[in-house]
Amino acid sequence: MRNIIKRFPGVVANDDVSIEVYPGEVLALLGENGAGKTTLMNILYGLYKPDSGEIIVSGKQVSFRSPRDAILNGIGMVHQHFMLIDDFTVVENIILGLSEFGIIIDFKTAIRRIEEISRKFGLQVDPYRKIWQLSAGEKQRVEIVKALFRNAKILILDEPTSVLTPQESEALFKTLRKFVEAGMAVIFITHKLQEVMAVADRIVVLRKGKVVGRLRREEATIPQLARMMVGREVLFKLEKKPVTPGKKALEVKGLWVMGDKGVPAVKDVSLQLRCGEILGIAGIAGNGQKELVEAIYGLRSPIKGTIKIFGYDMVRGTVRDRILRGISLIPEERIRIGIIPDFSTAENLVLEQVDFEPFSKPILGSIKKIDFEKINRYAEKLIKEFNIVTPSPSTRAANLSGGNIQRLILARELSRGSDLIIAEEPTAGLDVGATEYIRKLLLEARSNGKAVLLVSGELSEVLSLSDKVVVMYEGEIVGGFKPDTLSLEDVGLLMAGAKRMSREEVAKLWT
Amino acid sequence: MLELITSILNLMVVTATPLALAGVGEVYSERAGVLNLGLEGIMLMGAFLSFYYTYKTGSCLIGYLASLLVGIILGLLMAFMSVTLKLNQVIAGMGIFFLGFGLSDFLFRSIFGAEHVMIKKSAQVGLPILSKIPVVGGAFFKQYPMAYLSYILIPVMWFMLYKSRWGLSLRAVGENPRAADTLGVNVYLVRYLAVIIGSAMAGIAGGFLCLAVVGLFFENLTFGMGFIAIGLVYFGKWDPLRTWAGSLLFGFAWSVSTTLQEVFTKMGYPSATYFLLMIPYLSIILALIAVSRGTRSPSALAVPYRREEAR
Amino acid sequence: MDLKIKVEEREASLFTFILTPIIAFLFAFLVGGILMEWAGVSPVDGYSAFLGGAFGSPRKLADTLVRMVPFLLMGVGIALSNRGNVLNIGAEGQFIMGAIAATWISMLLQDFTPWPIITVLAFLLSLGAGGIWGGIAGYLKAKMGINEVVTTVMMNWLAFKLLQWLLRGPLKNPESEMWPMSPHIKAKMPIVIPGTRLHLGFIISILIAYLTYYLLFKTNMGFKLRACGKNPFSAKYAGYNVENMIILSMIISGGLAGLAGSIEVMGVHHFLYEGISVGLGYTAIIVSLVGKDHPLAIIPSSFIFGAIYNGVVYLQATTGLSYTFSKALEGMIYIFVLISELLARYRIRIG
Repeated sequence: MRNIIKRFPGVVANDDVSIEVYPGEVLALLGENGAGKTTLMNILYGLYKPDSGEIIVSGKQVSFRSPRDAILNGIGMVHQHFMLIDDFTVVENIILGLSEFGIIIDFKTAIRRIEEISRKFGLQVDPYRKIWQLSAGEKQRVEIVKALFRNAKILILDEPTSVLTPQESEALFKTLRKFVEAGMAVIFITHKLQEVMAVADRIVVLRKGKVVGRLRREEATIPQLARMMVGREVLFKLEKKPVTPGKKALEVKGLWVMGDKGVPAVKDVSLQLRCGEILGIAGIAGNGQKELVEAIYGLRSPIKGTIKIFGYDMVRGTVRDRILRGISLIPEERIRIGIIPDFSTAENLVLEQVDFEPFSKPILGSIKKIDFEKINRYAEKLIKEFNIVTPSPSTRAANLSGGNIQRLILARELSRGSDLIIAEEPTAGLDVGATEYIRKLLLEARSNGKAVLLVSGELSEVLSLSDKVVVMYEGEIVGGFKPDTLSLEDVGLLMAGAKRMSREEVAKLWT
Repeated sequence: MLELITSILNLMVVTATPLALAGVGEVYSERAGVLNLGLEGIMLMGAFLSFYYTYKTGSCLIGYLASLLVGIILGLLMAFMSVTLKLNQVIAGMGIFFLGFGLSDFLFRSIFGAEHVMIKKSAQVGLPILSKIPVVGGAFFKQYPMAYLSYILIPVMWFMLYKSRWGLSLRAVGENPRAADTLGVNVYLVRYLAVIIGSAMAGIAGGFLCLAVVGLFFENLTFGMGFIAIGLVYFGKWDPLRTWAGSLLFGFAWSVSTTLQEVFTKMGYPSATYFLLMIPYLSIILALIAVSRGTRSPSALAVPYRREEAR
Repeated sequence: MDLKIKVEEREASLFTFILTPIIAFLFAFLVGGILMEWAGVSPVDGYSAFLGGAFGSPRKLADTLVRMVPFLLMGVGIALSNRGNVLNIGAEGQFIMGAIAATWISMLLQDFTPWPIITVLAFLLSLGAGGIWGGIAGYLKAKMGINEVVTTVMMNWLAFKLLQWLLRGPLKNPESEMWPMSPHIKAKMPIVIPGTRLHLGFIISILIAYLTYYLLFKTNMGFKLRACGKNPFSAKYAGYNVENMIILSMIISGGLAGLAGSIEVMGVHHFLYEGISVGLGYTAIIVSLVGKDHPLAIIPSSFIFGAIYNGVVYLQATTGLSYTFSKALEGMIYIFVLISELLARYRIRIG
């Protein structure tokens, strides 16, 4: 790819980027979130058109109008968010869009070919199962087989280990080596330095849309890569003051919650969280964390068990009841759930509080008149305090950048005086500066005596922020420990379900 | 007595046919992710055009072709608004409804004024041997040609939806258009085609209502059938055969209440007619309540697809 | 399909907000002119008769104002429920139910109760009847996820059949054998400008438009309703009861349509008949679209459609062009406004 430039409204995602890949090697594209790696690869895959620049495959200059062209040129991509159709079977997903199997689909031939590929590279997939029944690791295998099925010579993987346990990641790296031995080229997008050192042959580092470094793995060191990625020295250690835990903020006992597919997503979960503590829930996304948080927050009714918030039984309570008791949620899906995009910044900042005293006065029954003056003043205060970059409080919230939307949400949730804060993937997709800031805020909340429930798939985050950690696997709590008391390998085994701690061992955490 | 049953069943099929045609067409459209609420307007335009061209040429076939054509044109408009312009599909569909509703009436009145114009209706044709079967023969096999067409067309459409690769692409586009796009499926084209197919079938359904069932054109000839067809798609859980079954059930309800009308009138309660006609509409609502549990629509239904998303 | 049409957002200015509907109208009238020509009426004759019919004399202007009342009331109600993301296609049926309720109470009590009391009772009853009729559809959507378009349209037909049955049965006027209609009712809306047909309902509807505006934009209930309409997921997380909002919007919307029905019976016709609503409820949907779901903008919008309605009646009388022209025109206005709104908010690039 030569001199690729790609602009989106407000940002230059790729600024004159050139890279080369050779058959039989793994090229790592390293950079933090927002550096432009995914955009570049989306261009290679034909999803985006570059504003300028050329793409040359096997000596021929090509122009892709859609992924179909890229696929015809032997390029395959496994995206970070799977491009799979949940309701279809594995084989249906793999042959979608292909015309070789006839108008009336010849499944038998297709399945035979899938099995061939499976055998050749050791990628086990069951053609007849439906995608929604598969685990993240299995889904990823399907994606890879899908690309190989179309004779991919260049395979792009976008942050593949974000959904894998440490063991599965190892297995993936082994598979990648097999590809490379077979003469394929692999482009590996990641922001994790350890991975780069483990799997890459050559490394290209991107920062803010530009190439800032090209090296061979032998020449590279981790601190050097980190500096290139971020542009300054990176602090890996966060300051955590010792705090004595206070009263019980949250107590969950024997909780069972139904999932969307008709099977329980949360099975017999018990945990305790005290004020002044951060309890981290570790585990690969999709193992029941979402449903657990929804139950605690009041959006999903449990089928069995108790939930007590500050001592009050909340199982039959509504979200509003919990908000009145002092709960806050920082949701994973910021735009879809965290804000009302069409409302102004100021309106979004008072979403939960618009009914309450300073912001509205009663007129008739439960109908109250809103005091916009007070709302604007409150908004201005929060905008300054949390450094939300916005032209004015009345700007539409949808116009803010991702990082600022998260600041808005945090400002709203942390300033309400809530004592129980649930944070779901609070730093996902944010750049290092924002990530640091948010982690600082959470630790501050903890020092101020608030209780924080942290759900994160980012293992290093969970381990560095939390006072206590539990690991969820397939809806159950399979392990509970204090960080630094367990080896990374053991944590990985817990996350993969390969090992479990007994209930007594986990319960020791709560004493 | 047996004759009564046969005539009820016959009327059931007659009533069900336009609903099934429009319904299965809408299944295709919705499975591809486009909710087309304009069916009623399309059926009305189909009815009017079939009426006009049959009047002009004396041939029902030309009438049907005209209704097919107008269905395609309106479908193109709906697809343009929903897929290319990415307008809110519900509102766009209502626009097609209002347009068809208003235009059909205006065109009819302007041409024919207030006269009652009759045309040569389509007639029921009996199939050899099959129509001799007691009770059901006279109902299912002594039907209008278009009904026979639906007997063949609908199972074919069912088959194509699930067993062909076009059907696979169509269903993919309705569930996860982004995934389909990354595999090279032309999401826009598939949606256009799906909407046009659905709309064309609605046009023919309108033509059937006019040419076979009623024999003339008047305001609101479709009696809400376009919306009933949409309800049937929900009832049928987006499956062609189930939607067909739903249309037969509705046809049965309609047929029974219409037949009961005559009974009541003979007994001296003519006004009960209107009361009885409430039953079919009520039955749709009840049917929807009955299936509302555990029904899942195509995931991308009514969500316009945008290829490039800025971060 | 190599032709690519890209749609990108751009900031809308107030200028484009007002200009685009006007352009849309112009286009619609242009196509309307073509239709007129096709039907054998010269557009010049046609449109001048049209304008004359709507605004020609003070009396005609007053008539236009009378005609706009149901559009205003129903349009405002639909705008409110639209803001809550519930599409009330059932204004037609709710209108009929309100009209039935008003007629019934009047017939019941008019022989021994003074008419002002009956009128007030009729208001309340029609609000309730319309509210229940709409609330049912709202409940089905909120608790069972059933598409409200299908249910409301079915209920429109139910209401219509009910009306047809009642007019030939319990509510029948014994003196009228030919046309189904109810006896004359005494409950009425007093005339506010003598010499015209402009009745109190006009003032009431303007008042209600303002109250709805206030409710939507100045109160917490309106805030929450709009939030639920824009983004029900976020609203749930913020603790709002989205289901209740849906039901409430339909009750208010239906109630207003029911009220419109009773006002129409009591202020204009003074008896109930089958043609009490010939698509008024559907036109109201177009009124709310043109008025961008804003109660204050719906006042001028309903005025325009009142003018169209009256203009077309006059048009038929003078040029012979079918009155159904208004339906065709309304359909085109809807589509053109829809497309023009897109052009105002987004830039379209072709190629």
